[in-house]
Amino acid sequence: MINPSTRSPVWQARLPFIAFLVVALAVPALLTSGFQLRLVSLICIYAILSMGFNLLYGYAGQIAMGHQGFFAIAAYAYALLQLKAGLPVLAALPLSLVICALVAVVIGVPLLRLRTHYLAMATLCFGLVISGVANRWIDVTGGTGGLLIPSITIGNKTVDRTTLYYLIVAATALVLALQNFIVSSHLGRSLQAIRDDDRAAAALGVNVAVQKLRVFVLSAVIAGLAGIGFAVVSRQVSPSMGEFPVLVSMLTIAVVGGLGTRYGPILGSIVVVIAPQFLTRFGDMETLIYGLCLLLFLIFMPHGLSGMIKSLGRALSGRLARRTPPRLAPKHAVKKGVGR
Amino acid sequence: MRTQTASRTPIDAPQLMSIRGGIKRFGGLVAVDNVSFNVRQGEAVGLIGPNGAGKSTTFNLITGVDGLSAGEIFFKQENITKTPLHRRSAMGMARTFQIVRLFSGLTVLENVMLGFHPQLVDGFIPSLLRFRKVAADERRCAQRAMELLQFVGLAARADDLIAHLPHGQQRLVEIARALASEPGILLLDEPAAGLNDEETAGLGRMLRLLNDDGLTILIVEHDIGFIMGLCHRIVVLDHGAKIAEGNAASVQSDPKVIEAYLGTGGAHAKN
Amino acid sequence: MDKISVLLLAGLTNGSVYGLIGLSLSLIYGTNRVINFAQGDFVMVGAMSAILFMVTYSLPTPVALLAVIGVVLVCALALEFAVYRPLVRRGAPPLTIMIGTLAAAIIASGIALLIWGANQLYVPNILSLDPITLGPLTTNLQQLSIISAFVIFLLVTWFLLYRTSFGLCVRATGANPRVAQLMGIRSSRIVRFGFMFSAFVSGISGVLIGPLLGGQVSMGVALTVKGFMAAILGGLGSPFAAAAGGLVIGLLETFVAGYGSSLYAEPIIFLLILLVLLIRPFGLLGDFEAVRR
Repeated sequence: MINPSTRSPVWQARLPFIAFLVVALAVPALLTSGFQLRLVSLICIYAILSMGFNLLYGYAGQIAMGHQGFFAIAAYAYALLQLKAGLPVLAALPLSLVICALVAVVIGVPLLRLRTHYLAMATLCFGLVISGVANRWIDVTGGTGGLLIPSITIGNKTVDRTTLYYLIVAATALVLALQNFIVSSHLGRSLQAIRDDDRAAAALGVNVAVQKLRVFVLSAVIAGLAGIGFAVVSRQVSPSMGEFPVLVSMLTIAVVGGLGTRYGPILGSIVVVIAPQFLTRFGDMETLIYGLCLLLFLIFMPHGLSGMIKSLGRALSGRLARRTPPRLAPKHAVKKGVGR
Repeated sequence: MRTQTASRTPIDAPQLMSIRGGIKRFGGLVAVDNVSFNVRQGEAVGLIGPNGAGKSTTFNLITGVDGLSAGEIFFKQENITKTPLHRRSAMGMARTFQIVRLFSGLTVLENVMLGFHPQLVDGFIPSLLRFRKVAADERRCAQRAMELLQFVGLAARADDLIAHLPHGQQRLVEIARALASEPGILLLDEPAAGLNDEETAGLGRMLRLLNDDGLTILIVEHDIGFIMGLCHRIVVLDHGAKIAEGNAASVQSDPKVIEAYLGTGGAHAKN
Repeated sequence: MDKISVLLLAGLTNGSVYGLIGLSLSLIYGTNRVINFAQGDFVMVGAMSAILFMVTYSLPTPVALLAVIGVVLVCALALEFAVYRPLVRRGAPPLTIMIGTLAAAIIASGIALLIWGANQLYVPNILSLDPITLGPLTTNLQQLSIISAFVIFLLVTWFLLYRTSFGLCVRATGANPRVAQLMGIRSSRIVRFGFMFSAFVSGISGVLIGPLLGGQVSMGVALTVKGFMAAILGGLGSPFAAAAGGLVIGLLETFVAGYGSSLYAEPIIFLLILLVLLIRPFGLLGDFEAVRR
């Protein structure tokens, strides 16, 4: 069966997803230390965050530099709903996401009228307001120290590290499936149309304003989900979740992984989470090397790791195809090689 | 020259689209000055005029890209003057642009598939709930899009990126995309611009075929020969106002039209 | 000295720096539609280099100043050749180039960290910090020099842009880059001017404000953001509106802190700018400039 929107056999489209699942599920058996498990959890969490950002920026072309704000808002809501309102986890989680969505709607409706640099700056302002308030509203947010997150309990038992990890993997798989569904459907196409030429998209019947708001809210909720995950893994929520370094990570993951690709977020997250571990041995040079790598990726790998893998795939299959001599049959429907 | 043959004259056909008293001001400049004309079902109407006559602006008014300063537009007997741009497409208006506006990040096939957008499930949550329908729709759209590409002769390039296509082929993709929505009226803004003689002839044949099949066409063009060969009726604009209307013969011999063109270098008239 | 004057002076001082950064950002934007995220780091480099040349190497002040200017100009060239040109060559859109300048900012702070470490250092003052009384105001030469520098740079920019033929080319590029190129204006020269002049202005600002703000490698980002706010507030196209925007932000900062809540001053400023953007996306003076052009 051919997947019509990517023109490649379905098994090929599913393959990376299955690979991800297999690797992710096997990890606890392969790794021994809790620290390493935590790292992989972080990869998944950043992957979720980036998939949301990717939908908004990579596919829909809306540069939002305030998504770290949603990362923080949902986490704070999750903490406060449990600590101050006494809600159980099963209620706090969805409610936090709802709050996140509401904020996104309130912010999105006026903001999405802006474009490019102005949208970037306005969303950055939003992010700065959130982190500013989080740092200062000591009574509610705990100030710079943040708040402690109660551990998740099922019945009377605290959920242990491995189970938590599996929950996070499940969440990542869910978001990944959701992303892939959107991207391979007419929704993904309409987002890309908005990115490439929103006037023409409107002329073809795409309700640009509504679609932009929808993807903004969705990506904010996904960012919020990642935020809650981060807070649960770190056992605390702090203002640093809404600050500049998170934005830099998001942008780096987008650049390194490849904007507007399905697996770019995961690939980018692996690099962005793992690489600093190797960089610490350079001590003081860490920042410099990080910046240099980011720049090199930007210049030489515009489509990121995902793009590089695709080109490799195409080069390989092209070489295979060239082994068989081309048959001159112009009337027949042309079957392209194993495709995009 | 396209004459109205007795067997298939659209004269009595119902009005599909009409613009009445259309006025568009940009600051102090009146780009479209009280323009009224209609297009009947099954007709091919040409909109011509020297440079700066207001043809593209009129087009933008009809399709909703620009808003009217005064006047009304009717489509299928409905007043669509206030209808937003994206809804006019769903109502059956499809258009191409003077400068090809394809989506550079999508392949040729995906571009054409976008033409189906208004017919597909609207919204993220409804799509999620009806995921099976979405998948089936995707297959159906891909198939239909391939058929359209076959019609314009570009099936072989379905998976190519737009940037890899020469200008003439990009035009054809744009037309295929416009046809995807099975429109009631196809509006073409200078489709022959940038095409060589062979491509222009091929385009003319294709449009003729579509119109014979019943597709209503409104076309803006500089190439008067192209218009004469395709259109039942021609509307002539000059300086934003309508100066003549009629079939090819009457328009060609209209002294006002001749003056408008000669006055601004009427070497455009190829016939 | 009464409260208003204190706040006024402090606001104008900080505002001058923000205004100059905003002016620089606006200028660069006018040459190539790129937001230079490394602009604040030029200020940082200026301030930190002042420490390097005046304290570490104990150079006499005029020589040290020249050295600082040299360093900053080299940074501008590095930005152009290592970041801007390669990205443009591979056809990157302006937003991607902006991320490139962000990478440059990270690289700059990375190098700065290696040289100066992360702590706040004392930047030597060029002019005296002894209090001077001007009527009801108490200030000092350093503070006055910043405000004067602001005015001087504004005049210089105005002269360059409106009284030289090169400035005409710069403005033409800002209005319509493609047409300007078609008319024979070499965009590469315009772009280089944008980077170097902006670096020069920011570097000097850094040397002047360093003693008052303190010199820390991390100061770059905050300054870039405030400078960007200034440029947006005034409207990205006009350097002068951006400069005015900077003053507005500086004054808002001190007055909100002084009369409102000093704790929430920063978030309130950001919120205000957010609101301005929502109401007038092209900046407070954006329309004014559009008419004037």
